[in-house]
Amino acid sequence: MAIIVNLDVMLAKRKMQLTELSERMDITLSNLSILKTGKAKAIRFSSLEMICEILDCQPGDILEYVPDRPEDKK
Amino acid sequence: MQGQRTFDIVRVLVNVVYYVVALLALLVVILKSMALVMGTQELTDTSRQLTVNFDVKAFPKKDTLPPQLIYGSLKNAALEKKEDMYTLRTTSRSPLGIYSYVMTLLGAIAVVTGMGWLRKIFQDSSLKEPFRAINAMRIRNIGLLLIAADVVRLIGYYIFNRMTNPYFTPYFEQYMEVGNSLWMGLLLLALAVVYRRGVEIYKENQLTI
Repeated sequence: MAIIVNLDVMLAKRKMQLTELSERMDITLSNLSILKTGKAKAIRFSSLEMICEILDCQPGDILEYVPDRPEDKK
Repeated sequence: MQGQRTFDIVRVLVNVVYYVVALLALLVVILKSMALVMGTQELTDTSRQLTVNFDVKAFPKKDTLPPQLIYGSLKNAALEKKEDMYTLRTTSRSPLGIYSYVMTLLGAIAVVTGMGWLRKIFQDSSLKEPFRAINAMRIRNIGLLLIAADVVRLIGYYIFNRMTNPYFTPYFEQYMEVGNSLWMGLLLLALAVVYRRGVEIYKENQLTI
């Protein structure tokens, strides 16, 4: 997928566990895992806002656009 | 959750109807099978003999008497006696009896299968998780079954006419209603497509964080 979620990178930078983030966001751990592993189809602005607030970062630090290689599309 | 009670009541009703229909279908098939195995081939006394009956509408020449009208106390309404309705009686071991047996067997299988799918739809659905891919498939299958039922009925209608009409005067046709389940089936096919889209939207919603 062209959008990469760098949540694990930001968590490592802030030395925070996914469990702690899920508790502070009041979101289930499984839902946050879906986001971290890149299986999510969409992210709500409210969720993104909370992540940015807790991890003290910008949306661009969490989400990254990487164009698909043509051979991957085949 | 709103509607949960209605959903539960319908689920129980469908379950009960399924078992009643399955039991009736089984009884009909057993009785028909017994008649096929133990019945006679010759038509003797139709008033006493257990026969296979078909309602038919005859088309006689126009020199017959006009239909009789019975007027009641209700204004602008009359009871009309139909002159041209007949019952074709035959034995269970005759070709027409075997035709009737096959049609009954197919009907019983179709009804029980369709009701079984409907029952499973209600068993697997809940208001918390209303959209499931397997149910979209079941709705589509019920739709196809209904269409197939009408097609089989139509084929049976032609087979019946071919089997009987060369041997009778006046000309008659089997009395049956064709078309209702075709429309119902097409409607269900359209609903299955909408439901499948619902499944997709539900899945996407589940993967939205």
